[in-house]
Amino acid sequence: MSPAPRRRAPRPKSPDGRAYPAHLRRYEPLDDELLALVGDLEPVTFDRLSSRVGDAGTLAVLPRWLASARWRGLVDESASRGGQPRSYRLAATAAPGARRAPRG
Amino acid sequence: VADTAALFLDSKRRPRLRRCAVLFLDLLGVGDMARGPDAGEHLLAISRAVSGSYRDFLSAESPWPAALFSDTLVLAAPIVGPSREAAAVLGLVEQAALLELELVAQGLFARGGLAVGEFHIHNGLIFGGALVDAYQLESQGAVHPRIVLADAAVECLRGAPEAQEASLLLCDADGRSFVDYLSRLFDEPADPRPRLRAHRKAVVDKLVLHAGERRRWEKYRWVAEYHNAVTADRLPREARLRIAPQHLGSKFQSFPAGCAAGTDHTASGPRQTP
Repeated sequence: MSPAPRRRAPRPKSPDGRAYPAHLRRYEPLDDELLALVGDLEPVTFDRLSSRVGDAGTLAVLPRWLASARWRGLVDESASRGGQPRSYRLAATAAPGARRAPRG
Repeated sequence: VADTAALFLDSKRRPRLRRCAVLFLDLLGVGDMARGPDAGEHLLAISRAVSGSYRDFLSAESPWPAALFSDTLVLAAPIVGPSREAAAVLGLVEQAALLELELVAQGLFARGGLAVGEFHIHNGLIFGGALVDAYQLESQGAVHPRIVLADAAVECLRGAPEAQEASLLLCDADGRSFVDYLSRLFDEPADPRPRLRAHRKAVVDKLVLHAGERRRWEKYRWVAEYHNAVTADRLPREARLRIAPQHLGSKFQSFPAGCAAGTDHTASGPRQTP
Protein backbone atom coordinates (compact mmCIF):
# COMPACT_ATOMS: atom_id res chain seq x y z
CA MET A 1 0.00 0.00 0.00
CA SER A 2 1.52 3.29 -1.01
CA PRO A 3 1.56 6.10 1.54
CA ALA A 4 -1.16 8.72 1.24
CA PRO A 5 0.07 11.81 -0.60
CA ARG A 6 1.04 14.64 1.74
CA ARG A 7 -1.53 17.37 1.70
CA ARG A 8 -0.06 20.68 0.79
CA ALA A 9 -1.14 23.44 3.18
CA PRO A 10 -2.90 26.30 1.43
CA ARG A 11 -0.73 29.18 0.43
CA PRO A 12 -1.64 32.26 2.53
CA LYS A 13 -4.09 34.64 0.94
CA SER A 14 -5.08 38.12 1.99
CA PRO A 15 -8.75 38.91 2.70
CA ASP A 16 -8.90 40.60 -0.72
CA GLY A 17 -7.57 37.46 -2.45
CA ARG A 18 -3.93 38.38 -3.05
CA ALA A 19 -1.32 35.65 -2.67
CA TYR A 20 1.50 35.85 -0.15
CA PRO A 21 4.28 37.82 -1.89
CA ALA A 22 7.04 35.40 -2.88
CA HIS A 23 9.81 37.82 -1.93
CA LEU A 24 8.72 37.70 1.73
CA ARG A 25 9.82 34.04 1.98
CA ARG A 26 13.38 35.33 2.27
CA TYR A 27 12.59 36.53 5.82
CA GLU A 28 11.05 33.29 7.16
CA PRO A 29 14.39 32.01 8.55
CA LEU A 30 14.18 34.88 11.05
CA ASP A 31 11.04 33.34 12.62
CA ASP A 32 12.75 31.53 15.49
CA GLU A 33 14.66 34.58 16.65
CA LEU A 34 11.97 37.20 16.12
CA LEU A 35 8.89 35.24 17.21
CA ALA A 36 10.66 34.53 20.50
CA LEU A 37 11.37 38.25 20.87
CA VAL A 38 7.77 39.23 20.12
CA GLY A 39 6.61 36.58 22.61
CA ASP A 40 8.90 37.97 25.33
CA LEU A 41 7.86 41.57 24.83
CA GLU A 42 4.22 41.41 23.72
CA PRO A 43 2.30 43.59 23.21
CA VAL A 44 5.26 45.30 21.63
CA THR A 45 5.58 48.40 19.47
CA PHE A 46 7.83 48.44 16.44
CA ASP A 47 10.24 50.75 18.26
CA ARG A 48 10.58 48.53 21.31
CA LEU A 49 11.02 45.47 19.13
CA SER A 50 13.59 47.14 16.90
CA SER A 51 15.52 48.37 19.93
CA ARG A 52 16.10 44.72 20.91
CA VAL A 53 17.38 43.62 17.51
CA GLY A 54 21.14 43.74 17.55
CA ASP A 55 22.03 42.76 14.01
CA ALA A 56 21.97 45.56 11.43
CA GLY A 57 20.87 43.23 8.64
CA THR A 58 17.93 41.91 10.67
CA LEU A 59 17.01 45.42 11.75
CA ALA A 60 16.90 46.62 8.14
CA VAL A 61 14.35 43.97 7.17
CA LEU A 62 12.32 43.93 10.39
CA PRO A 63 9.28 45.61 8.74
CA ARG A 64 9.33 42.99 5.98
CA TRP A 65 9.61 40.13 8.46
CA LEU A 66 6.62 41.56 10.38
CA ALA A 67 4.66 41.70 7.12
CA SER A 68 5.64 38.09 6.35
CA ALA A 69 4.66 36.92 9.85
CA ARG A 70 1.31 38.70 9.61
CA TRP A 71 0.60 37.11 6.22
CA ARG A 72 1.25 33.68 7.73
CA GLY A 73 -0.93 34.36 10.78
CA LEU A 74 1.96 34.22 13.24
CA VAL A 75 1.74 37.78 14.50
CA ASP A 76 -1.29 40.01 15.05
CA GLU A 77 -1.23 43.78 14.77
CA SER A 78 -3.39 46.02 16.93
CA ALA A 79 -4.51 49.47 15.90
CA SER A 80 -2.84 52.52 17.38
CA ARG A 81 -4.75 54.01 20.32
CA GLY A 82 -4.61 57.24 22.25
CA GLY A 83 -1.76 58.68 20.22
CA GLN A 84 0.35 55.56 20.78
CA PRO A 85 1.78 53.56 17.87
CA ARG A 86 0.22 50.20 16.98
CA SER A 87 1.54 47.08 18.66
CA TYR A 88 2.21 43.45 17.83
CA ARG A 89 1.64 40.16 19.64
CA LEU A 90 1.94 36.49 18.81
CA ALA A 91 -1.15 35.08 17.18
CA ALA A 92 -2.88 32.35 19.17
CA THR A 93 -1.67 29.74 16.70
CA ALA A 94 1.97 30.82 16.68
CA ALA A 95 4.90 29.23 18.40
CA PRO A 96 8.55 30.10 17.82
CA GLY A 97 9.70 28.37 14.68
CA ALA A 98 6.17 27.32 13.84
CA ARG A 99 4.28 27.40 10.57
CA ARG A 100 6.17 28.24 7.46
CA ALA A 101 4.37 29.03 4.27
CA PRO A 102 4.43 26.00 2.00
CA ARG A 103 6.55 26.17 -1.11
CA GLY A 104 4.97 26.48 -4.49
CA VAL B 1 19.25 51.01 20.61
CA ALA B 2 20.66 54.08 18.96
CA ASP B 3 22.70 55.19 21.90
CA THR B 4 23.79 58.39 20.23
CA ALA B 5 26.36 59.06 22.97
CA ALA B 6 28.07 55.74 22.26
CA LEU B 7 27.86 56.21 18.52
CA PHE B 8 28.59 59.90 18.16
CA LEU B 9 30.87 60.77 21.12
CA ASP B 10 34.44 59.60 21.49
CA SER B 11 36.02 58.24 24.67
CA LYS B 12 36.54 61.80 25.90
CA ARG B 13 32.85 62.66 25.26
CA ARG B 14 33.77 64.84 22.29
CA PRO B 15 31.45 64.83 19.27
CA ARG B 16 32.61 62.65 16.43
CA LEU B 17 31.42 61.80 12.95
CA ARG B 18 30.18 58.34 11.98
CA ARG B 19 29.44 56.91 8.58
CA CYS B 20 25.66 56.86 8.16
CA ALA B 21 22.87 56.73 5.65
CA VAL B 22 21.01 60.01 6.15
CA LEU B 23 17.51 61.04 5.09
CA PHE B 24 16.65 64.74 4.86
CA LEU B 25 12.90 65.25 4.51
CA ASP B 26 10.97 68.45 3.86
CA LEU B 27 7.26 68.39 4.69
CA LEU B 28 5.52 70.38 1.99
CA GLY B 29 3.19 73.23 2.81
CA VAL B 30 4.09 73.39 6.50
CA GLY B 31 4.92 77.10 6.28
CA ASP B 32 1.34 77.90 5.26
CA MET B 33 -0.05 75.44 7.78
CA ALA B 34 1.90 76.95 10.66
CA ARG B 35 0.61 80.45 9.92
CA GLY B 36 -2.96 79.49 9.05
CA PRO B 37 -6.05 79.45 11.28
CA ASP B 38 -5.92 75.63 11.59
CA ALA B 39 -2.31 75.51 12.82
CA GLY B 40 -3.28 73.45 15.89
CA GLU B 41 -4.97 70.81 13.74
CA HIS B 42 -1.97 70.65 11.43
CA LEU B 43 0.35 70.21 14.40
CA LEU B 44 -1.75 67.25 15.55
CA ALA B 45 -1.64 65.75 12.06
CA ILE B 46 2.15 66.01 11.93
CA SER B 47 2.43 64.51 15.41
CA ARG B 48 0.13 61.61 14.48
CA ALA B 49 2.13 60.90 11.32
CA VAL B 50 5.54 61.07 12.96
CA SER B 51 4.89 59.39 16.28
CA GLY B 52 1.32 58.22 16.76
CA SER B 53 0.52 55.53 14.27
CA TYR B 54 3.02 53.10 12.79
CA ARG B 55 5.90 53.99 15.04
CA ASP B 56 7.47 56.87 16.91
CA PHE B 57 10.07 58.10 14.45
CA LEU B 58 11.39 60.43 17.17
CA SER B 59 11.64 57.73 19.84
CA ALA B 60 14.75 58.01 22.00
CA GLU B 61 15.18 54.23 21.85
CA SER B 62 14.95 54.01 18.08
CA PRO B 63 17.92 52.52 16.20
CA TRP B 64 17.42 55.31 13.64
CA PRO B 65 18.36 58.60 15.39
CA ALA B 66 16.13 61.46 14.28
CA ALA B 67 15.51 65.17 14.65
CA LEU B 68 12.45 67.21 13.65
CA PHE B 69 12.52 70.96 13.25
CA SER B 70 9.42 72.68 11.87
CA ASP B 71 9.07 71.22 8.37
CA THR B 72 12.34 69.29 8.36
CA LEU B 73 12.90 65.74 9.53
CA VAL B 74 16.34 64.14 9.59
CA LEU B 75 16.64 60.40 10.07
CA ALA B 76 19.91 58.45 10.14
CA ALA B 77 20.94 54.82 9.92
CA PRO B 78 24.41 54.37 11.42
CA ILE B 79 26.66 52.02 9.48
CA VAL B 80 27.91 49.85 12.31
CA GLY B 81 30.40 47.60 10.63
CA PRO B 82 32.18 46.67 7.45
CA SER B 83 29.91 45.62 4.57
CA ARG B 84 26.88 46.96 6.44
CA GLU B 85 26.25 49.87 4.09
CA ALA B 86 23.58 48.04 2.10
CA ALA B 87 21.71 47.11 5.29
CA ALA B 88 21.79 50.71 6.50
CA VAL B 89 20.53 52.12 3.19
CA LEU B 90 17.93 49.39 2.78
CA GLY B 91 16.65 49.92 6.32
CA LEU B 92 16.42 53.66 5.78
CA VAL B 93 14.59 53.25 2.44
CA GLU B 94 12.09 50.99 4.22
CA GLN B 95 11.65 53.55 7.00
CA ALA B 96 11.28 56.35 4.45
CA ALA B 97 8.52 54.46 2.63
CA LEU B 98 6.65 53.77 5.85
CA LEU B 99 7.03 57.38 6.96
CA GLU B 100 5.68 58.68 3.64
CA LEU B 101 2.64 56.42 4.00
CA GLU B 102 1.99 57.79 7.48
CA LEU B 103 2.36 61.36 6.26
CA VAL B 104 0.00 60.80 3.34
CA ALA B 105 -2.57 59.29 5.71
CA GLN B 106 -2.59 62.72 7.37
CA GLY B 107 -2.79 64.56 4.04
CA LEU B 108 0.90 65.50 4.10
CA PHE B 109 3.43 65.10 1.30
CA ALA B 110 7.19 65.29 1.52
CA ARG B 111 10.27 65.77 -0.59
CA GLY B 112 13.60 64.34 0.43
CA GLY B 113 17.12 63.22 -0.24
CA LEU B 114 18.94 60.13 1.02
CA ALA B 115 22.73 60.21 1.08
CA VAL B 116 25.59 58.21 2.57
CA GLY B 117 28.58 59.72 4.35
CA GLU B 118 29.92 61.25 7.55
CA PHE B 119 27.30 62.44 10.03
CA HIS B 120 26.86 63.47 13.65
CA ILE B 121 23.69 63.63 15.74
CA HIS B 122 23.61 64.02 19.52
CA ASN B 123 21.85 66.30 21.99
CA GLY B 124 20.14 68.30 19.25
CA LEU B 125 23.33 68.90 17.27
CA ILE B 126 23.27 67.55 13.73
CA PHE B 127 26.17 68.01 11.36
CA GLY B 128 28.05 66.35 8.54
CA GLY B 129 28.71 65.95 4.86
CA ALA B 130 25.94 63.38 4.44
CA LEU B 131 23.47 65.88 5.88
CA VAL B 132 24.58 68.53 3.39
CA ASP B 133 24.40 66.04 0.52
CA ALA B 134 20.93 64.88 1.55
CA TYR B 135 19.75 68.50 1.90
CA GLN B 136 21.11 69.42 -1.53
CA LEU B 137 19.42 66.41 -3.06
CA GLU B 138 16.15 67.42 -1.45
CA SER B 139 16.36 71.07 -2.40
CA GLN B 140 17.83 70.71 -5.92
CA GLY B 141 17.47 67.13 -7.09
CA ALA B 142 14.08 65.94 -5.87
CA VAL B 143 11.97 68.74 -7.42
CA HIS B 144 8.77 66.71 -6.98
CA PRO B 145 7.32 65.24 -3.77
CA ARG B 146 9.62 62.24 -3.87
CA ILE B 147 12.60 60.99 -1.88
CA VAL B 148 15.57 60.61 -4.19
CA LEU B 149 18.75 58.64 -3.53
CA ALA B 150 22.29 59.85 -3.98
CA ASP B 151 24.40 57.86 -6.41
CA ALA B 152 26.44 56.45 -3.52
CA ALA B 153 23.27 55.13 -1.87
CA VAL B 154 22.15 53.51 -5.12
CA GLU B 155 25.56 51.87 -5.49
CA CYS B 156 25.26 50.40 -1.98
CA LEU B 157 22.08 48.59 -3.03
CA ARG B 158 23.22 47.28 -6.41
CA GLY B 159 24.40 43.92 -5.03
CA ALA B 160 21.81 43.54 -2.27
CA PRO B 161 19.40 40.68 -3.06
CA GLU B 162 16.60 42.26 -1.01
CA ALA B 163 16.81 45.35 -3.18
CA GLN B 164 16.79 43.32 -6.40
CA GLU B 165 13.85 41.09 -5.52
CA ALA B 166 11.36 43.49 -4.10
CA SER B 167 12.70 46.92 -4.52
CA LEU B 168 11.01 49.87 -2.88
CA LEU B 169 12.70 52.03 -5.48
CA LEU B 170 11.70 53.24 -8.92
CA CYS B 171 13.72 55.14 -11.50
CA ASP B 172 12.20 58.35 -12.80
CA ALA B 173 12.51 59.82 -16.29
CA ASP B 174 15.37 62.05 -15.12
CA GLY B 175 17.35 58.97 -14.07
CA ARG B 176 16.83 59.56 -10.34
CA SER B 177 16.00 56.62 -8.09
CA PHE B 178 13.19 57.43 -5.67
CA VAL B 179 11.32 55.68 -2.86
CA ASP B 180 8.26 53.84 -4.20
CA TYR B 181 6.22 54.08 -1.01
CA LEU B 182 2.90 52.95 -2.52
CA SER B 183 4.38 49.55 -3.42
CA ARG B 184 4.97 48.96 0.30
CA LEU B 185 1.19 48.61 0.68
CA PHE B 186 1.31 45.39 -1.36
CA ASP B 187 3.68 43.73 1.12
CA GLU B 188 0.94 43.84 3.76
CA PRO B 189 -1.91 41.36 4.09
CA ALA B 190 -4.37 44.24 4.60
CA ASP B 191 -6.29 45.23 1.47
CA PRO B 192 -4.31 48.08 -0.14
CA ARG B 193 -7.32 49.57 -1.88
CA PRO B 194 -8.69 51.69 1.01
CA ARG B 195 -5.28 53.32 1.44
CA LEU B 196 -4.92 53.81 -2.32
CA ARG B 197 -8.33 55.47 -2.37
CA ALA B 198 -7.24 57.71 0.52
CA HIS B 199 -4.02 58.51 -1.37
CA ARG B 200 -6.00 59.35 -4.51
CA LYS B 201 -8.24 61.68 -2.49
CA ALA B 202 -5.27 63.39 -0.82
CA VAL B 203 -3.65 64.03 -4.23
CA VAL B 204 -6.86 65.26 -5.86
CA ASP B 205 -7.49 67.58 -2.88
CA LYS B 206 -4.04 69.11 -3.43
CA LEU B 207 -4.58 69.43 -7.19
CA VAL B 208 -7.84 71.26 -6.59
CA LEU B 209 -6.38 73.42 -3.81
CA HIS B 210 -3.43 74.54 -5.95
CA ALA B 211 -5.25 74.75 -9.30
CA GLY B 212 -4.30 78.44 -9.59
CA GLU B 213 -0.67 78.04 -8.48
CA ARG B 214 1.17 76.41 -11.32
CA ARG B 215 4.40 75.50 -9.49
CA ARG B 216 2.64 73.82 -6.60
CA TRP B 217 0.06 72.21 -8.86
CA GLU B 218 2.82 70.62 -10.93
CA LYS B 219 4.24 68.93 -7.82
CA TYR B 220 0.97 67.15 -7.15
CA ARG B 221 0.47 66.37 -10.81
CA TRP B 222 3.70 64.37 -10.53
CA VAL B 223 2.30 62.51 -7.49
CA ALA B 224 -0.86 61.80 -9.49
CA GLU B 225 1.17 60.32 -12.32
CA TYR B 226 3.10 58.20 -9.84
CA HIS B 227 -0.17 57.06 -8.22
CA ASN B 228 -1.61 56.09 -11.59
CA ALA B 229 1.55 54.25 -12.64
CA VAL B 230 1.58 52.11 -9.49
CA THR B 231 -2.15 51.34 -9.52
CA ALA B 232 -2.10 50.52 -13.25
CA ASP B 233 0.83 48.17 -12.71
CA ARG B 234 -0.36 46.47 -9.53
CA LEU B 235 -4.14 46.53 -9.98
CA PRO B 236 -4.64 46.83 -13.74
CA ARG B 237 -8.34 45.97 -13.57
CA GLU B 238 -9.11 48.64 -10.97
CA ALA B 239 -9.26 51.68 -13.20
CA ARG B 240 -11.44 53.47 -10.66
CA LEU B 241 -8.48 53.66 -8.29
CA ARG B 242 -6.66 55.93 -10.72
CA ILE B 243 -6.82 59.70 -10.78
CA ALA B 244 -9.07 60.85 -13.60
CA PRO B 245 -7.47 62.72 -16.54
CA GLN B 246 -9.70 65.73 -15.84
CA HIS B 247 -7.55 66.46 -12.77
CA LEU B 248 -4.27 66.22 -14.68
CA GLY B 249 -4.69 68.50 -17.67
CA SER B 250 -4.16 72.23 -17.94
CA LYS B 251 -7.33 74.26 -18.02
CA PHE B 252 -7.40 77.08 -20.55
CA GLN B 253 -9.98 79.79 -20.15
CA SER B 254 -11.19 82.67 -22.30
CA PHE B 255 -9.43 86.04 -22.17
CA PRO B 256 -9.78 88.17 -20.13
CA ALA B 257 -12.22 86.50 -17.73
CA GLY B 258 -9.83 83.71 -16.70
CA CYS B 259 -6.72 85.90 -16.30
CA ALA B 260 -5.56 87.09 -12.89
CA ALA B 261 -3.68 90.35 -12.32
CA GLY B 262 -0.28 90.34 -10.64
CA THR B 263 1.05 87.16 -12.26
CA ASP B 264 3.79 89.02 -14.17
CA HIS B 265 6.86 89.20 -11.99
CA THR B 266 9.12 90.91 -14.53
CA ALA B 267 10.30 94.51 -14.17
CA SER B 268 7.90 95.54 -16.91
CA GLY B 269 5.01 93.77 -15.24
CA PRO B 270 1.52 95.13 -14.97
CA ARG B 271 1.16 98.71 -13.77
CA GLN B 272 -0.44 99.05 -10.38
CA THR B 273 -3.64 101.02 -10.40
CA PRO B 274 -3.38 103.87 -7.91
